[in-house]
Amino acid sequence: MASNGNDIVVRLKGIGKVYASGALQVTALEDINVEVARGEMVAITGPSGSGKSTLMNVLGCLDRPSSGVYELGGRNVARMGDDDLAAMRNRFLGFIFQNYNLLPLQSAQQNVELPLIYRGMARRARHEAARAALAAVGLSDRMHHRPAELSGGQQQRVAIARALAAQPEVLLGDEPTGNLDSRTGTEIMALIQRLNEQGLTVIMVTHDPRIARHCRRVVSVADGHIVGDEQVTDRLIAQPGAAEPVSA
Amino acid sequence: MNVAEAFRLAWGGILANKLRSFLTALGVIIGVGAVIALVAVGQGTTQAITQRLSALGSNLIIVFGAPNKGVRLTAADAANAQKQIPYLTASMPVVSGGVTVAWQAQSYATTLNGVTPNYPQMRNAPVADGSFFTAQDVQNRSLVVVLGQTVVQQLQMTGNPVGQTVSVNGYPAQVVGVQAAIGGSTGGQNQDDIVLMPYTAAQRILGTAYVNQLYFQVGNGNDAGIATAWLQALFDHQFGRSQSVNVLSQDQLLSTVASTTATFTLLLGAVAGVSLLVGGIGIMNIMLVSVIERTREIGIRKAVGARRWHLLAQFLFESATLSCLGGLIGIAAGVFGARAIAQSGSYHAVVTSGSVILAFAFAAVVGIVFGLWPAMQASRLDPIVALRHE
Ligand SMILES: Nc1ncnc2c1ncn2[C@@H]1O[C@H](COP(=O)(O)OP(=O)(O)OP(=O)(O)O)[C@@H](O)[C@H]1O
Ligand SMILES: [Mg+2]
Repeated sequence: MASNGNDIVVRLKGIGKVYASGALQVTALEDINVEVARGEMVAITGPSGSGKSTLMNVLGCLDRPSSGVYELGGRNVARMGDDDLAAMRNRFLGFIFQNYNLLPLQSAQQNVELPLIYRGMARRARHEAARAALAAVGLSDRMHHRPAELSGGQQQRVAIARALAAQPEVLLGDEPTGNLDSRTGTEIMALIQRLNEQGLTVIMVTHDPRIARHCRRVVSVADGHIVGDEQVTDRLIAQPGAAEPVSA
Repeated sequence: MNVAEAFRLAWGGILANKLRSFLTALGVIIGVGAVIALVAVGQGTTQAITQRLSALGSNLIIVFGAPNKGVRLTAADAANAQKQIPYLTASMPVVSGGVTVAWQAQSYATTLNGVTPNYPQMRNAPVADGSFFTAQDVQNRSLVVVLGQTVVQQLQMTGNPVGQTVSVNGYPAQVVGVQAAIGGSTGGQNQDDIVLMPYTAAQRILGTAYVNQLYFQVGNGNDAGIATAWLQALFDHQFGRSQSVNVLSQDQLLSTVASTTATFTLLLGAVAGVSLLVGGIGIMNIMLVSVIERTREIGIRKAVGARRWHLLAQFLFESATLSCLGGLIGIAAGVFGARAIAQSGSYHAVVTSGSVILAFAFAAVVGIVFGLWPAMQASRLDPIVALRHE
């Protein structure tokens, strides 16, 4: 994608990841070079075991690459310490997971406030931000429900609200629709597309080609290498509430 | 995140599993309660003994003979010593032995003390009814007695005992007075379980020409040390050997007793302290389990940006809050327990603010020290590993 340097939010240069499990060394990623500009919506696809999650964890500052440079918002995070990475996750990134990863004993609102607590935001401001984020994902009437009292789609929307509340530069998702039926998955994609429309950069892993077609660009990974990187030509636009997406 | 926030998080963790939190704190509750109650018993006992000793009368020096070594004291020794040693302001020979007193159909075994009219003043033991016998009675070997309260009760004497006649080992003796109650029995013989008589008459009843102890009084407490040394020298000279008699001043007695009871208190406190330590290990155990159980929670918190110290603070506050809460409940339990022990009557118990503060501080330190390791475990978890944890 053509873009000037300032618009690049994520830049991976020669990223490699080697897992040492016992005597065995597993090369999960090798020489990954990717740039993602502000406002893009990128799907990462590939077969099982190809390294998608590994790449996502590096992108999400949850894990450090074994080699290479990762510039996030212009700063090299590949060699940052634990606490600095935590700060990057807190301020720069919103992460959504396949299994939602909500705290089971806390209400939707408390879950959404979580990143704001670690940012040092005052209680009242936090409540406001959480309320706004939950309203943005259409869950104003479920603020005080615990995750167990919510459907899978609702839980994922709480997770998205948690990611949004921190007003991140980039929204990252590892199979965010993986646990949802196709209708609910489409609803989630509609929400993510709307957020992207509003300017949020999105990078998400999916092995579902239909979900990938909701994105603007698809990066294919196989065996730890990037084997394809192309713009989506027949993009699907998800309609909230509609069972079937329509072609753009 | 500030301290209040860390505390709120910790409190949430405690409330999430109330029963387990209570059981975790129970070790500290029992530990703190035991420290406070047992130290209270130790201190109460010390206080009671000290009071009893102080009631002996001030500035008292007691000389004990050693009959088995041929060192036998006489009443003349008391008068002689007072004449020779200027610091002594009063003296009194004491002869004592077990006797049976009888009144009407009742009889009772007690201790007979043969003394002089100096007794009430030197022993701080006033007469409640009637009067003490006189120097004339001593001279005349009069069979007159002053009874302790316990003896009056045991003989079930009806009406005013003064003026009645009791028998002491078969000798008829007229009751001239009844002692005021001194009370208690802790750490020594019951001071009310006694019959007082002129030592001359007591010698006759007990069949001896000697006395057991000589009591002396110094005018000024500061002179007790020098008077003690002087008495020792005097009797060592008289009996021709060193350490012939045993000279004890009240000060010495007090310090001996004080060091004994301090050891006793320390021992009790140490035993209770061990249980507090065990309580601390219980906290560590549960917190370690909790960190493992909550690995996923820790992973989620880290994923959304919690730093190491956020998790360190959360878990440390949790263990510290548990132990401090346990400490507070333990204080209540300890004070309550000490009161119950005191009311049961067999022990004295005095809760001091010192032991309360000490026990609570110890509990807090235990919570922090034993919470530190689990909290560090939590803070060091790798977010990826933690998130994958099932
Ligand atoms: N912690 C680890 N230790 C050792 N090897 C690992 C570890 N995590 C991943 N791997 C290996 O790295 C490779 C890539 O794994 P990864 O989880 O990134 O695959 P994936 O593309 O996400 O697969 P899926 O679609 O099944 O989720 C695999 O061969 C996997 O076995
Ligand atoms: Mg994966």
